[in-house]
Amino acid sequence: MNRRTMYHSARDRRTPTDVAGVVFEMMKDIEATGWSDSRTMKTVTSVAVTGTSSGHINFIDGSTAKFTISNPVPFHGAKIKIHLEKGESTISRNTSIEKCRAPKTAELLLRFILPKDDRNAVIGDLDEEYQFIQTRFGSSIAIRWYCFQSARTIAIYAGRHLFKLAKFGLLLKAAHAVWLKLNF
Amino acid sequence: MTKDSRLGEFEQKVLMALVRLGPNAYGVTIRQEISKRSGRDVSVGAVYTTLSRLEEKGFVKSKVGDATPERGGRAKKYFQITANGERTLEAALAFYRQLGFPGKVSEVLS
Repeated sequence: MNRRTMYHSARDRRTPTDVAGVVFEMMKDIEATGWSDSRTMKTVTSVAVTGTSSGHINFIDGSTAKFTISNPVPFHGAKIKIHLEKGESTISRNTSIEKCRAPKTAELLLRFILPKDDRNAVIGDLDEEYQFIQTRFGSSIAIRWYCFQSARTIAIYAGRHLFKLAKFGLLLKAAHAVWLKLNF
Repeated sequence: MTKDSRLGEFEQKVLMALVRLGPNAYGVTIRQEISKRSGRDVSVGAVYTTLSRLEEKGFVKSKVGDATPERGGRAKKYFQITANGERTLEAALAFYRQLGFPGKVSEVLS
């Protein structure tokens, strides 16, 4: 079984879609190669993403290793490169993050309520930020953020529609009053 | 000053964000700029409804960019402040300057 196949099967079980999750999976993969007997997945205490293009892995013995995100554009699938060093021995691994779609129901509701002029721009903006948040903080936070933003946006546009309807209602009422005056 | 040439607080913020961002002003960057500067989360809907209101008033113009795969084939909508918008924003800011507002309420009171 080659490295790629191993990674895919691991991803199928845990579906890591954030940087930290992918790095953990890669460390498992590195452990399986038998490269290190001390810096294994079991000794990793945390994975920290320190910027849009880098991060580090903290090990239980207090040591750290750096990793880089070579293509931080999230929607293309951010490419992550891990480079570990121990003495004279080094190891490098590359992989990319899976793109995960935004919640479909929220998107459909937005499609329904948004005016045609703004529809693509608003949904595109939400999708762009969703991909970024998903890469940095994981799917569950990204989904919550997307739903919250969608709800706020829907409420604003629904309020706008209601306001227009109310204005139209007032206009009708005024027209009705004028009509009554003219008749009597 | 007619009703249409008045600017609300949020409208001023959006226009200032447009001035600051220049040619790179679209929904995401405008929202992030306002959130960063004002320290409160702003929804995409609030930004777009304000922008379309400003566009109706003639303070802002928009153009649709090319569709990009990063956004699932959806194009960005870029916004730019018009000369009329700049004048109105300048007038709104001049009001605060005319008051000689130093920045702190306590300084005004003293």
